[in-house]
Amino acid sequence: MKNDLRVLRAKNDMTQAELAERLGVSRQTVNAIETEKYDPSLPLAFKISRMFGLPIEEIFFSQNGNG
Amino acid sequence: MNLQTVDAHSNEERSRWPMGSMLSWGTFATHTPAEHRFCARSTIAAAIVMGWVLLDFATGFRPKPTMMFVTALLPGPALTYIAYEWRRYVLTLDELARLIQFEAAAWTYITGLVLAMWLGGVSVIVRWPHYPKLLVPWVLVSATFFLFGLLEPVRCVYLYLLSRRY
Repeated sequence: MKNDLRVLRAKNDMTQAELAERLGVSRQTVNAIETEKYDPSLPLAFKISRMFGLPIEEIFFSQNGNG
Repeated sequence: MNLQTVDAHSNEERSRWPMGSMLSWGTFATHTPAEHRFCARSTIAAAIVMGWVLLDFATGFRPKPTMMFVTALLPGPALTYIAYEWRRYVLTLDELARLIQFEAAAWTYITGLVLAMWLGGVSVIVRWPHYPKLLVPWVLVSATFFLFGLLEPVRCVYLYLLSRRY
């Protein structure tokens, strides 16, 4: 699963630690999601989606871009 | 985005898992009350068991019914309590840390089973059952060693190795 979390975080001028604190997870978790080594759970994906005010499919998408 | 933020972002590329904490306590150094509680209470429980076994060892495993009874039964409740505290601690972790903890525990369980099978086979071959006087006290010592001295470090190593994936 690919994602635009790093881009969105940069646009909002946030550090990984700040984003992690707002999401209630560790900085390592945010880093693992950004580097696409870990796919977040659905509740966490919804939380990220709500935080950036974007639909989930605009943040997370499959390798071939089919959502 | 200013330069300071860019620097902060570039410094965050690595996950930087707390290796020392993972290899020693089997935790992620989150410094939460739950982590402090787990470390303190599990250490006390393990120390009580190890202390008692050492005391029994120092007195030469004399066949006093009370001492033998306590030596035989103490590791069970102690490990049950540690498992209970570990569960409480793990439930306070975020989803990735919890996943790594459970995966490390699963791999440790498999490693323990494999080791038990090997040791069981080897014990038959070297005919341990023919030396009961040698075996009886060391069963208790080795069981304690197996749990605290071998499997816990194995779990810590798995924790470290699994965290490398993220």
